[in-house]
Amino acid sequence: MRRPSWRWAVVTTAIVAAVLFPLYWAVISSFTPESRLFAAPSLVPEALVLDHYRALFDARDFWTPIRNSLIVAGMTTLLSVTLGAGCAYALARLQFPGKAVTLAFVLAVSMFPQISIVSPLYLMLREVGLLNTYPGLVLPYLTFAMPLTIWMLVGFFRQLPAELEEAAFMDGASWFQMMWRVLLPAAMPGLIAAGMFAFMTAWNDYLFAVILTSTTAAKTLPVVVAGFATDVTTERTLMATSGVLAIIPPLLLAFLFQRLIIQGLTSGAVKD
Amino acid sequence: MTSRPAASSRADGGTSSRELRLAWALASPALSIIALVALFPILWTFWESLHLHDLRMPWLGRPFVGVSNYVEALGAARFWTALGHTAFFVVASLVIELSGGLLLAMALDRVTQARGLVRTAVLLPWAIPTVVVALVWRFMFESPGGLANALLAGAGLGTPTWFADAAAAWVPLLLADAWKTTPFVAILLLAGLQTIDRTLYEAAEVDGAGAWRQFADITLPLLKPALLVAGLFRSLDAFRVFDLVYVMTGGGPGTATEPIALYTFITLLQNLRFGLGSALSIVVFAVAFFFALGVIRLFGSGAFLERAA
Repeated sequence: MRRPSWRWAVVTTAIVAAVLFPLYWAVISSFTPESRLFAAPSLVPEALVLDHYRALFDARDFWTPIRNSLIVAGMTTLLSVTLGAGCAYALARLQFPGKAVTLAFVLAVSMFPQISIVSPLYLMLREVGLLNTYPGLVLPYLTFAMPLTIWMLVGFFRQLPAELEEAAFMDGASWFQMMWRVLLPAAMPGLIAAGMFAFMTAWNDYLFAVILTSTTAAKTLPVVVAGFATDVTTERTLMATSGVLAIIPPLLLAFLFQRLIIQGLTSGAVKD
Repeated sequence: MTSRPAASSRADGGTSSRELRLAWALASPALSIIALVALFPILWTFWESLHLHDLRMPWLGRPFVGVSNYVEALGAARFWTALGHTAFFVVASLVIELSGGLLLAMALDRVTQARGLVRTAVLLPWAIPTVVVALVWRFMFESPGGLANALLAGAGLGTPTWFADAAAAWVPLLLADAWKTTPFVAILLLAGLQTIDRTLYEAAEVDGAGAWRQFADITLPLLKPALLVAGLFRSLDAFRVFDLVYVMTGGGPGTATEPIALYTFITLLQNLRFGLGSALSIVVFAVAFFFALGVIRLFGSGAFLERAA
């Protein structure tokens, strides 16, 4: 057992404070009156106002990008988990020729630089009229969400004991019954973790969204948020406010599923 | 992930045709989607890179030009500068994040109280969308009223105009990237740390080895696989850097912080030169691909591809 030492306690406290500070600063800024925001930065706010939030929702339609992001990330998650789970099961549990190549292929695709495939995706989607639509983002998002999901789920399926399936088959269950009643429930933590990663990567994306959407009705949250910074007139107060709102869903997930995230991050990456 | 799990209960007797059909039925939907949205586009990019295709000049058509786009891409000074920026960003962020991540992992490993809470707190920046990370740090460094300058002035130091200075502009970029991704590195390394047999430290203690010796002789060597994996993931990610730079500096001042992905983006979508941009895309792809392949070859595929075994 390691002796707890006060030195490490100090280091840890300092690190946690340093890590959380920018987050605190962003939240405080989003509530600080504009006149104070650039006058004199102070660590403890003197006045808090909701002006910037009102400006986002009253003067602009900020619900639309929120809804777009939720729908696109949600659909990406659903598709990559359902289709990815089947593929991962085959790769983890069944014997078939070409298995190793398939796994290497999936891993290779997850390392594709997005910029390398975005122009044909743009031309393809334009051809079939899917620019500025939900499927027009969900399909490209599957390029990174699907390999990630498959890769993680292969790890989770392999960790499950083979006896689970054997016992179910012994009891006369069909393959579908075994899958539905035994294996999927047992793999639930893995499915949730993989789904969360798919959601976060889709929620996070900027490069695909900024190229494949151009209408106000179709833009996702990161595009709108970044727009406040990259437009000719930088709207600094809206930057902070919209940024804070865009953080909420992934932070909620991080809070709720900390343990699963850590398990997911380390699965397949480190031998244990 | 350990010993090959005792999976494939029916692996002993070769592959039955029923199992084969099931396997492909399960795998093909996902694989066809990946082929459609990733494999097909990369082949298309390659094809496009062999043509002159300028969306601003549609009357030129789309003639086949062989490798002339590559000749133009590799002959441009801006390409090499952007590649240099990318290499610098990869190396600098890797050094900061691996050392910071190691320190953080060792601190997390020693946390005895409120472990879950501390880990969640440390993990939070990793969950924040890159665009927002870029905005938050830009906000803190924005001159003149930014927090960074207020702190420097308070300490009696000079206050650079961060985003107008070609060298200083890298500081907020690297800090922001480190803030977002060090937690990821730390979590990978923490998992590695926890596999180290604690009795090794006890034995070293008995032999009179100090904390530094223990770190250099036990922790570092045994953590090498985890460091390699974290390093590979991070360098591939840093090589693709786009959002962060685009939102924070726009590649500026001028093109002083422009990475290769941003240069490609500008060629494709602002200058609308699809042929040249596709050639750049293929170069980016090839560099990433051969880098990953090289790392895996060099250090053995075991650490990365054991699942394919």
